[in-house]
Amino acid sequence: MTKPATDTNAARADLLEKVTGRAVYASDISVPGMAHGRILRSAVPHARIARLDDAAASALDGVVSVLTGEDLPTLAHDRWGLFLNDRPVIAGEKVRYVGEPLALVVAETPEIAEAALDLIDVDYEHLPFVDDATAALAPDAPLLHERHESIADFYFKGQAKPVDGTNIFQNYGVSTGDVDAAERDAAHVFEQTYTFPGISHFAIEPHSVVAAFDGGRLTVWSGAQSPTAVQKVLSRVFGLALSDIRIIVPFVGGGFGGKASVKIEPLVVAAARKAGRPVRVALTLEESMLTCRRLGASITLRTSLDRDGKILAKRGTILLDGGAYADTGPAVAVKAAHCVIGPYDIANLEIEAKAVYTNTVPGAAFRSIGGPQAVWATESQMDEIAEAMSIDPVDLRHRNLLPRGGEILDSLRALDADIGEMLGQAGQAIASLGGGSAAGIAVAATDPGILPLGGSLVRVLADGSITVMSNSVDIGQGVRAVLRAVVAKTLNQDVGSIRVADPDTATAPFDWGTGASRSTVIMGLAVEDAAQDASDQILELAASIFDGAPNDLRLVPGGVARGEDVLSFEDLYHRAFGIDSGEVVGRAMVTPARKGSDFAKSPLFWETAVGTCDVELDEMTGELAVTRYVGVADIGHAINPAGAEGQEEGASVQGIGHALYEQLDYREGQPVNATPVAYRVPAAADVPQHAHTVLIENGDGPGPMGAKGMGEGGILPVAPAIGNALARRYGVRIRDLPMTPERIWRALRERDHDAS
Amino acid sequence: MLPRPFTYHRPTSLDEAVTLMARHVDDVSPYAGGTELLLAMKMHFADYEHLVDLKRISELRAVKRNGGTLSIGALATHAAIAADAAIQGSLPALAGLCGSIANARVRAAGTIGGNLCFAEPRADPPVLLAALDAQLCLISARGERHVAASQFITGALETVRAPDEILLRIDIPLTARSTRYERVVHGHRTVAGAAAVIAQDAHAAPRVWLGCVATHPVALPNAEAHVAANPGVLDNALTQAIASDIARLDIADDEDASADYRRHLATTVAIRAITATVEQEERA
Amino acid sequence: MSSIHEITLMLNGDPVEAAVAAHTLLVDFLRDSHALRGVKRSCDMQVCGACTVLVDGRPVSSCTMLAVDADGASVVTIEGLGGPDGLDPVQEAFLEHGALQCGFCTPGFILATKALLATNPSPSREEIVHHLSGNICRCTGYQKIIEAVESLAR
Ligand SMILES: Cc1cc2nc3c(=O)[nH]c(=O)nc-3n(C[C@H](O)[C@H](O)[C@H](O)COP(=O)(O)OP(=O)(O)OC[C@H]3O[C@@H](n4cnc5c(N)ncnc54)[C@H](O)[C@@H]3O)c2cc1C
Ligand code: FES
Ligand code: FES
Repeated sequence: MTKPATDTNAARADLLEKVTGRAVYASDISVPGMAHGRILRSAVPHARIARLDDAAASALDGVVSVLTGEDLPTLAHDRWGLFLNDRPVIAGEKVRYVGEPLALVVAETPEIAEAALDLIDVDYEHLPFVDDATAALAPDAPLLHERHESIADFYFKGQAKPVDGTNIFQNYGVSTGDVDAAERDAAHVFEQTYTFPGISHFAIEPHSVVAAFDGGRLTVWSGAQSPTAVQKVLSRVFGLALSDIRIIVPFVGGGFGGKASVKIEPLVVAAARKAGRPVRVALTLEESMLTCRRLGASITLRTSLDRDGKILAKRGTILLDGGAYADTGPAVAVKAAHCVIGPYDIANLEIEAKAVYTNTVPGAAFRSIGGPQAVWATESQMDEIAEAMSIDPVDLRHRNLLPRGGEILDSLRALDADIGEMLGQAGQAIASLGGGSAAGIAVAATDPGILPLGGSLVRVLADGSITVMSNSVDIGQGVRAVLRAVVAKTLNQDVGSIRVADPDTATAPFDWGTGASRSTVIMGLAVEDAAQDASDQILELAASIFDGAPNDLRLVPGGVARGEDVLSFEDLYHRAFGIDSGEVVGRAMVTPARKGSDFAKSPLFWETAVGTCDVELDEMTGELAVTRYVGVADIGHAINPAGAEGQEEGASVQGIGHALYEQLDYREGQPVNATPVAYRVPAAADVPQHAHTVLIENGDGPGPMGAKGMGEGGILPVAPAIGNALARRYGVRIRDLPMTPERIWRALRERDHDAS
Repeated sequence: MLPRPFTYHRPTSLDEAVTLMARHVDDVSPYAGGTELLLAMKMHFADYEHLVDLKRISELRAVKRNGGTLSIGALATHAAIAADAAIQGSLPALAGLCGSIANARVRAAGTIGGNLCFAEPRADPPVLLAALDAQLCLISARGERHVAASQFITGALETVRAPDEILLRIDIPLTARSTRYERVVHGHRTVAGAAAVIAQDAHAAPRVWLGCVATHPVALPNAEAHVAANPGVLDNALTQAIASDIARLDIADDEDASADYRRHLATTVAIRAITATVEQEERA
Repeated sequence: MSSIHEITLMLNGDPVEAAVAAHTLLVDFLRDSHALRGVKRSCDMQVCGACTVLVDGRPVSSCTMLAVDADGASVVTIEGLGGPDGLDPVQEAFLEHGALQCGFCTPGFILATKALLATNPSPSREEIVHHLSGNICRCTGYQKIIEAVESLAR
């Protein structure tokens, strides 16, 4: 049966809204009586606020109110966090980074609010600052936070391990076997240090929030990836019942983790409360760059091998630059520690990951948290080892790769992909793009930190249209299309009849959040279960009417059938309920104990990736171009193939940005390029002319139809694959990202100097 | 990121514009494409009581060829220059440059006059125009005057333009046989740009200019002398001549490049520009 | 205080008269006074293209253009493309090729493409890449955008 044209259009309903400009994003929300907020930000990296005078600003015509640290005592809790209770709703006694919100002016127009900012006077009492993670570890380093208050099982399972009297807010270790002994026996020991900078999310829609109180009830529109986390934090900060807080998430103009957990919502809600008016705060992109970033890292690896190139032991020391507030940094450290092992069979491991505070923009989750940092180190080193031992890099990997079912750590789920096979596919695919074999390659496996907790409702309405309610957020990854496909399949209905409502905590059940590639799996299952529940109920109803067993019945588009007899939903409800109205509500909550799922061990699935590429270098200027790129991902099943491919392509180009251009740069505590002009992200001209994505589908994932989560892994191998290609083709090894033209030029000079 | 209030004037004739500039000379700015000016005003780096919009004075946009001179109105946009058949024919290097700088939106709005008058240290056209020995025509209530493009920009964001002066047009003598502009761009900024111009008249000196490196475009006299003495020769001595010119420049580390790398890039683009003109000569 | 100016323009094909303060930016005029929310604001510095609109057919950054400058011009936003029952071919191509994810950059890319095709109906891949390199998309990796535009080249 060919689908009518309208069906296809309906299937891509959200895309249709987006190409016509009708899609509503958080920054498009406007509510009656709304006032506009603008934020005054700290100009200094670390200081006590000696005086903050907002009298002139408050007196300006059109200014409604000014929120400052003086308002903190009016809050039920003046600080919040997800692992550590470290972040004041607005700077109180001191500021900890350039860009930290100091005051929020609410006015009738954005223009008045902006003018009022100039009228606020701040006197800083400067404190020594530290803008570098290594320096933050020094015994006499200035302390950003005098005390650490770690909170267990708040939104993440477990707890961070800060060290009192230091800037260390997370300390995580992995230890297996006997590394000392293995090193003694080893034929070769390699030790290298690799660095990875802080990187801006640069989601094209800046953070934007509208907050409105109606009596004691609060509604917040935000481009938040984790609406229920926002709801929970707001309930603490403002002492409100969860049921009195409604978080609505319209379309989100890109997230990548930068809108995960909680960001500016508590600040905007505090301003709305003080103003007694709905308040809108729409950041500029520049302000978003001062709101969060990926954690920078310095990673030292000491890897021991036997004569045949079999890895005997690995020692890893990871230092993460977490910025001024921990946010989800503690989880980043855990992930980096796991990811730095690589998908290799290594019996002896000693990995230590520390995350520290510095006087810089707070770190946060970013696509495959902690992964790119770790894989940059691990996969660069694999090639350095291969070169030193005169082994082909692909061969060295084959000698050490874990097979499907092998264990990276016994505390983690066994590997559910065949990376050796992926390597082979990558090699073939890149050769088929022309230009010979690849120059650089990298592999990766990462364990998405996914909490299997999320619910949904599937409502089958009388006219056969279906509403899906869930708190999974469309951040561009196309989750709505995936959910629609799952419901369509489970209920055997036309995709065109299914609508996925905006995430709304007032109507949709709890969901842990959109990130870590989890929506497809967890929300996919929740929606599948809810649809199944609806199906069971419908068949039950129909059985009583057809006077048969539910087993004889089946769902058909628009209704239920027994043999050739079809009953529309409307007729079914009419007969069952007495009027031709009503609905069937399917419900489901996926929990760690879900029947039929094995959620006991983490991760729920591995996200695996292979990247391979070729590069071209202008040896005079140091400018490097990626000419060919192939990414391979094992995604179990592509529920939405075009979407899956797009995710991988987007991830690889972000990876090119990470590899070649991106770095949030600091001098003397001041960000020097935290503006959209100075900070370079990839443009169309930076995309490889020949690129290809291979999706491996074995239907062996835990999600609906055997899908695994995806969308994050693709970024992992990019930088090391490029670095390895550069080394192979041009004989220069860069260990510090990004591989800027200047760094490459310096390395070339050294190479030529050494040669002469 | 919102500009502060101001009074907007939209003259439709040059006379009217000159009068407005004179009347408000204490706090006025000419306003062309606004791609620099409005951005500076949005960021509150600049603030004016009066803006005089020049865009509705059609004569300021004209591109004309008078015998051996190409006249480009100050209000000609980058896009218009790139697409102009007369410029493509007589000065492909300029048309090509204007078609490649910035992005399509900035090219559509931004003008060549605005580029010159803003005197951004990383601007490209001033380098090429200096090498081409272009003459700039300025007007005020005091009358017209002419300034060589090579003398116009005196420092970062500094020119010899008086506050009430309007840049009318750019006159470029079409005396070059080979012209080339070479640059290295990282992200949105040119980190080094060099122009080389070989005149039709064998006795006229070649011109080699460098920009986007120091605060404003500069000539490379040793390079020029070397090319004059050894036409068509690309040797180590040329590289050394260029390097000796660049060594004399005051170049500081900045967020785009360390000084030594920038010197290297400057040398590289100068060599590339000269090499390209030599190749053009050979082909001719 | 800014001077106030009466302007008339064609906005998505309809005549519009308005009084605007001199310092009003076109993006705010379109979004706030005319509820054209398909005009997006992101970088506010002319580098991302999210705010792209067509003024007399040329692509401009509405974040850095004065509303008063639109006086006498024809302004087209994403809302002005296609009809009530049909999509513009460029919109159709973006849909067809999956050339969008979050969609925040999409109106700008579509209008930039309109401007390109108006002056160059059969652009090469290189010309497409050059023309679109002033628009930033952080999601798609551009490949499908380039393919969508290539499919429109005659
Ligand atoms: C994203 C971006 C990328 C860019 N990339 C490049 C690049 O690669 N290379 C490069 O060279 N440039 C680049 N530019 C700069 C661009 O070329 C200029 O912004 C543009 O040419 C300025 O012209 P305008 O008409 O917009 O000037 P305006 O902004 O209107 O004016 C600029 C200044 O010149 C004055 N002015 C303008 N016209 C006149 C006149 N006729 N008489 C007297 N004074 C006048 C104004 O008062 C103001 O002070 C870039 C700009 C942006 C925003
Ligand atoms: S918002 Fe105007 S170009 Fe980015
Ligand atoms: S689709 Fe998200 S920025 Fe382009």
